[in-house]
Amino acid sequence: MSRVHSPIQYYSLFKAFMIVFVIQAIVFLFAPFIPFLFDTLLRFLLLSVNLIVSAALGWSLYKRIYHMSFTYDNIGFTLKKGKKKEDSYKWSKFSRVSLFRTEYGDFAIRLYRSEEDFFDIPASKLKLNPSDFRFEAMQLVSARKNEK
Amino acid sequence: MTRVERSLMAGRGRWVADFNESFRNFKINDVEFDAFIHGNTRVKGFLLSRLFSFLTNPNYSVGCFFFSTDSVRGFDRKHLIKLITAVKSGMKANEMQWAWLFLFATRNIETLRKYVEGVEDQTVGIALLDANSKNILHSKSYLGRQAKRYIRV
Repeated sequence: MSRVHSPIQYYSLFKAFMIVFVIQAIVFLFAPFIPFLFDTLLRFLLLSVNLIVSAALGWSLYKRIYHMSFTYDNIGFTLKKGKKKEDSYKWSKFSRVSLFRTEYGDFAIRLYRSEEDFFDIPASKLKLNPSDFRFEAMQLVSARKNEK
Repeated sequence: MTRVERSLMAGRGRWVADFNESFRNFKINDVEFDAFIHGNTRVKGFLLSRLFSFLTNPNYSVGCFFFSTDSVRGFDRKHLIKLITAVKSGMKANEMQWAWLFLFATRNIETLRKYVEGVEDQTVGIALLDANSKNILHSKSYLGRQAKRYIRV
């Protein structure tokens, strides 16, 4: 039975929201109708529109680029980032498992194909317990390796 | 063991080095360590901390080897020497400048304490972690003494 982990990554969602918000703010700043913005009500209205548009487009941007979905079973796993990037591997392709801390302080499970060739599963971002999932991955890798 | 591993990777251990990767059931020759954590004394960070680290810290590769003595029946001095030899071999293979051997124990603490304190080797820091009393005993070497400051059981 396959298990799916696809939590909302709030930091990435905030980043997507801010990208859209800042772009809109810059556009308004250099817009030719700037003298009219001294009206408080109009400014408030524009800010509200900006926030609503940022929320809608930010969500869409987040789903398209940042959102991660991780599906795994006893045979293999699939890590999907955004709409396009999708990596699928079988556990049997890997020989070693480690717990890795990135320079941003997140934990990832590093799966080694060889000494230099590896694949990282971002456990912290997927809200998986890194330590527990490392042991689960170790079991899956060793079970598949023994079957080979 | 998991707590010590976490304190090294995300806690006080970061004062010594940037321990960023941990392996379980790590084999060197015919010795299987319960865990091996490695890192570098040059801590990564953002701009200023990265620059500060580059200017002040040496670029040393370092590692910690964990071994549970309870898993071996009748753990004695010979076993300890075998572990130290394996650690040295691992240091050579991974080009490590500093290495620590952490022994986890729940029984025969007094005997193990004598073994650990009797180690004259200066190249490997050895610490004995008593899981019951949460005490940390260490070898006389500089690295051994330092181990106590940066780990918690």
